[in-house]
Amino acid sequence: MKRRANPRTKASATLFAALGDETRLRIVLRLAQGRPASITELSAGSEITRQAVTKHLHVLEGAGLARGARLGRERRWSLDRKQVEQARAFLEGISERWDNALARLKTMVEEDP
Amino acid sequence: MNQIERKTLIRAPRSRVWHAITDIRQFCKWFSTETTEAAFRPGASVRLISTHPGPYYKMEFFVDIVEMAAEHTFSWRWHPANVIPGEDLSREPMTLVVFRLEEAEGGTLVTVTESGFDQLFPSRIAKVLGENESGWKYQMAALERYFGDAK
Repeated sequence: MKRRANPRTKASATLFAALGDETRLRIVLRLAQGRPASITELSAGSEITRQAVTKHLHVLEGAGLARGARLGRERRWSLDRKQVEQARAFLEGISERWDNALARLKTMVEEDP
Repeated sequence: MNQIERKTLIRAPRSRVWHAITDIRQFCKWFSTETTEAAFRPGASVRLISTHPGPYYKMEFFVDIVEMAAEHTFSWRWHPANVIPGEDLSREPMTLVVFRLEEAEGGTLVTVTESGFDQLFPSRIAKVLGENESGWKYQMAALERYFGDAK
């Protein structure tokens, strides 16, 4: 029997690594605005070449963060919101715990200086 | 995206805040934990037990103390969001937690950073999410807040 990696697990493995790059973050934020964008649109007005944008999109695609769909002559890229939400929710949960812990520290110190 | 940073201003002198963070008895109070250990010291792996109500109640975890620079820096490595009792974490990567203290107008500024999330195994992320998923909703503002900070 052939063993196959669970695609969901594989995608999350590279999720944070994929987001750990400033250019890719910029692409993610741009795609987060909602409308699918072409490579031409994504590289317009920036110093990043089309080739570089293409490369970054493939990394994002590999992490399950972005998807390309052919529309006429070019591919249009959009964000996979479920994956993005997964990354955000993970960090939000940890941030919230730190906020709560720091609030308890502040209360303790200020009430008993 | 590889780091979380949180700050709070505490209206107290730096020495008082340092003591509250690094004296293990005081630490246990605000971190909602208990321990049988006498003190934190660099290089020590300190066993703590959560007393925080919720999914972590009575869960044991370890903090491996990295640095203690008086009134300035306190740091440890740990497995964040450990949710399965008795789980073997020995092969999983850890994150680094750093407390930094600075004098500030009206008191002491405490900055906590936690970094190394890009090294975490997907199984851990999935577990933490499985535990809390129902309570979290999508917010674009929050997305921008976290993603925009990672420079």
